[in-house]
Amino acid sequence: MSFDVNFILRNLPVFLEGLTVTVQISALAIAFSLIWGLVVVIARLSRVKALRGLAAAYVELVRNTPVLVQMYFIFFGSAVAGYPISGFMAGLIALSAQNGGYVAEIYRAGIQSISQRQVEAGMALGMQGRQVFSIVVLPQAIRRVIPPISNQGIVIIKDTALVSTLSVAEMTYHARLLTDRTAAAYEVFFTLALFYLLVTTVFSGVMRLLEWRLRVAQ
Amino acid sequence: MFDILIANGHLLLAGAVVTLYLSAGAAAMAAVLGAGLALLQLFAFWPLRLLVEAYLYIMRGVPLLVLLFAMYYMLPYAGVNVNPTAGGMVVIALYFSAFMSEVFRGAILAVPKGQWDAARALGMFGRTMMVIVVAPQALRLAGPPFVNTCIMLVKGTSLVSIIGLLEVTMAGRQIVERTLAPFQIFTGVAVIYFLICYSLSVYGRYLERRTSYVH
Amino acid sequence: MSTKPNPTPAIAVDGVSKWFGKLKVLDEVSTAVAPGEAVVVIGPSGSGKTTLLRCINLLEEFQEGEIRIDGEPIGYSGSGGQRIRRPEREVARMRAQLGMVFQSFNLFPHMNVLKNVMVAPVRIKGVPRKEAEAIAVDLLERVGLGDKLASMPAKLSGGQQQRVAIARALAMNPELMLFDEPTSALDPELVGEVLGVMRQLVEEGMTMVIVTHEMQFAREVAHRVVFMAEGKIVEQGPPDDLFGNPQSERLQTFLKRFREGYMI
Repeated sequence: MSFDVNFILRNLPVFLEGLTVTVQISALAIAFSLIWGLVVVIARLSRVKALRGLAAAYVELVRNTPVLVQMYFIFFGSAVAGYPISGFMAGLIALSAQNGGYVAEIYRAGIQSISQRQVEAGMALGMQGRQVFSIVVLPQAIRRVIPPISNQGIVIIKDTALVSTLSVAEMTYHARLLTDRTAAAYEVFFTLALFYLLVTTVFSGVMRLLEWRLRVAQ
Repeated sequence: MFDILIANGHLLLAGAVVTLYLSAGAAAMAAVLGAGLALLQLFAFWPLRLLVEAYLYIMRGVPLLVLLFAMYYMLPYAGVNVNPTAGGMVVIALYFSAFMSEVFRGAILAVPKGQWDAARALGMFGRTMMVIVVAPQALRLAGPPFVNTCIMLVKGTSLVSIIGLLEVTMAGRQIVERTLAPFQIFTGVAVIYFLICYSLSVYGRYLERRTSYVH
Repeated sequence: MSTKPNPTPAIAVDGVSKWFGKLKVLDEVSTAVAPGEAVVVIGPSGSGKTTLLRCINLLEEFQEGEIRIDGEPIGYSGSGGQRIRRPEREVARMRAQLGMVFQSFNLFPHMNVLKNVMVAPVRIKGVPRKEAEAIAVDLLERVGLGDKLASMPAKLSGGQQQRVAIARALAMNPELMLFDEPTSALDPELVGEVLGVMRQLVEEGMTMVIVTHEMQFAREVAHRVVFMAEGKIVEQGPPDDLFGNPQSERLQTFLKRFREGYMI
């Protein structure tokens, strides 16, 4: 068998079309996970016991079940319930729900990693609870959570491949179609892997840049 | 309310058995491979180390699903007939070996420097030092993150349903196609995963408590 | 031949220099330790005394000079200006002849006391298990821990851990012992028990190099005191001379501060 570079070049538009969808769903899922994670962690650290318990249970639930099953549940469930939503939407909801749980735990670890001494130092300067949080704890916590958030982002990017099973036309979906049509499996999957590496590398590079910038700004 | 789930429960349980042995097999392979990769990454001569880094880079940057498809589509073209169960298990193991290597690498590096010093000062080096002093402590430290990686792996096995393996997720899909009861059935599927993964995470937390008062 | 009763020194340090990056932490240090001699190294933190000790058994590499144990160069062999790092196996063989005790004890936390003391003789020197156990039990009794054989290190006090660490080093039947601030991590009331064991070793004629801040101990027990500052040996001699009549301004300041109770 031979490796046909021209085949890749000829079909590049197909990959690029898939790439835009992958980037779209990745960006949205990362953004929603960051926001949803914030909601969950606020509940997780709240003074209301019931809210804390609910948030903890939620985190356990999403962490201990596969995102694929969550996608199926939402996608097929919504169809049967009479409110069918698109594969794109179902995928986005499942990815955000699952990774929001992980992100909440990252936030929590970040906040709790700021030592009590720092909090006390803030109090000693006359700050009050909320001020201590926003002036002392948050800026330090943000810097600390960037590396794990970056890792989680990569998990999200890779998991977007799963929406191909809900017929969302992202990269993996196109790759399968192309393989079925042309039988050029080597070329297709080599290119596909390369594209994913490209997206994840660019993403983690940007995150590293961000971390570096915040460190300098300190 | 759960009548359809109850009627089809035995099919899901049969799938769960496949999920369990797929997970166990892949986790065992991934652990052995990951430990080897970690050792190479830390101690091997640089060209080999570079090769390991490249492997880890690919495994961490490419989705598991893409690797599964690659195996599923490419091997037949290469004239290799793989049993999809074995193939799926191997691909999952290869993918998670990258995460396992991180677990072991982190654990080895977390063994306090004084321990290495003490071992060296007594005249130990190389394999003896690893076996007697470093490995026992590293394995203990690796316990909790190892269990976490196993949880990710169990969830990851759901992906082999997409290449047609009849494990618990695939069993669920088949039942849903027949019964049109996705809520009941996928709840059942989720509960099975939850039971497996949650018991693992309880075990992980137990290990964490146990590790904390060693040092 | 000269009548000087000077056999091969147990440790010979010859023009040793070491850099951490651009920082020169050891600056052409030379000294020698005779068999049976107990040398105490003092000096402010950052003076290079711990680094020098760690260079002697090559836990730290050094870039210039030579250290010989019983006449045999450790770490590097070379002729004509070429320095070649000796293979790890040879370095390890030489380290096995040197006992070392650390500030933070560094007992193996996954082994009980007896196993900590037995493991190196059995696995490195190939001493039969029975024999190694007898030696270990004997040593542990000597350091006053005969009743702790089965305890895990985490259950012991700092002073007990350090005494186990001394027994562990002695179990290899070393030619000399290196002590790196052995009492600095101990609560004050536990310092005495460790110094007691060390004093006993000096009396038995063990060759020892001890880095410490225990001035009283240095004064009473050392045969010679070496004062280091900024990577150099500034002054050395019998303890009475050094403490009673310090020559350099550096040492005078150091001792004055010490008497005034500064933490150094």
